[in-house]
Amino acid sequence: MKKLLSYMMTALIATSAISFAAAPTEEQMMEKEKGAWQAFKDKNADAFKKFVSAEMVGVYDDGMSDMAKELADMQKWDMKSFEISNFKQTAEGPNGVAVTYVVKVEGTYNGKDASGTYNAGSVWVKERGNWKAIFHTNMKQAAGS
Amino acid sequence: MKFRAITLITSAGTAFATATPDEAAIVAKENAIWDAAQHKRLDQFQQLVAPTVRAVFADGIMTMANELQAIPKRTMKSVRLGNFNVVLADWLIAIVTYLATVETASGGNETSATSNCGSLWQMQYGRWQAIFHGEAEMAPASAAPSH
Repeated sequence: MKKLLSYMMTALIATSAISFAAAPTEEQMMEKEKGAWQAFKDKNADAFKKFVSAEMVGVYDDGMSDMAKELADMQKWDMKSFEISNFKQTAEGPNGVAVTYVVKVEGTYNGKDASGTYNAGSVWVKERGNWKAIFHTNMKQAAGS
Repeated sequence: MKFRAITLITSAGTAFATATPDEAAIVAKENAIWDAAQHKRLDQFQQLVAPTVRAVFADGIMTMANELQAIPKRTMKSVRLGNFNVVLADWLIAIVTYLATVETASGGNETSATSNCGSLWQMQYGRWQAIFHGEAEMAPASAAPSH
C-alpha cells in the first residue's frame, strides 16, 4: 500500500508538472482556433479533425451539431474570409481552456449570403496530449450590440 | 466516452474518485440555473455557475459579473426547457444541449423566443459547475447556416 501511494504521488507530481508546463498561452490558443477556422474555410476535413474532437458539440441558431454535421456543413460553405478579434482565454484547470471572440465572416452557405459578425466561443480540452475543441458556439451579433 | 487517467490524476481539487457524471443530475442542475435566473436568486445561480464562466449570446459575451447585473433586469414570465441531450466527454466534463423557450413580459408586451442552448459542466472542487454557456435564438425555419 505504501509503495502504491508512493507511485501515485510520483505520478501525480510528474504529470502535474507536465500538464502545467504545457499550459497554452492565449496566443497559442488563438492559433489553434484560427487553425480550425482555416481548415473549415479550406474544406480540409483532415486538418479540421486535428483541431476538433470527434466528440465535439456545436450550438448554433439552426440547431445542434456534431463532427458529422460540421463536415457536411463545411462542404456547403463558400467562405471567402474570416477575421478573429477580441480574443480572450479563461483557463479551466490544467486540461481545459475556454476562449471567446468575435469573428467577421464573408461567404455564402448553400449559395446564400451568410456574411456577418458573429460572437463565438469554444472550449478546448487535452485529448491524449493534444488540445482539441470539444464545444463550439457562434451566432450573429444582434443589431446594436 | 473516454476515461482519461491523467486528467483525473492532475486535476487537483477535484473529487479524486468521482463517479461517472449522472446525466439526470446534470439536466437537473441546468434546470436549476434557469430557475435561479428566472426567480432572480443570485446566490443559487453562483452556487451552480463557476466564477470564471463565459456565456456567448447574440447581444454579447458575458462574464459572471455581467450575468449578475443582467439577471435582476430580465423578467422571465415562463421558461420551458426540453430536448435535452447530455454528452459525457470525460469523467470531469459533461456537455448538455437543449431548447429553451422563454416568455418575457415588458411594458405590457409579451414575447416568446426559442433558443438552442448548450452548457459545459466541469467537476471542480468536488462539485459540478457550469463553466461555459452558448445560446442562439433559433433561426426562422432553422434555415440559417452553422459554423
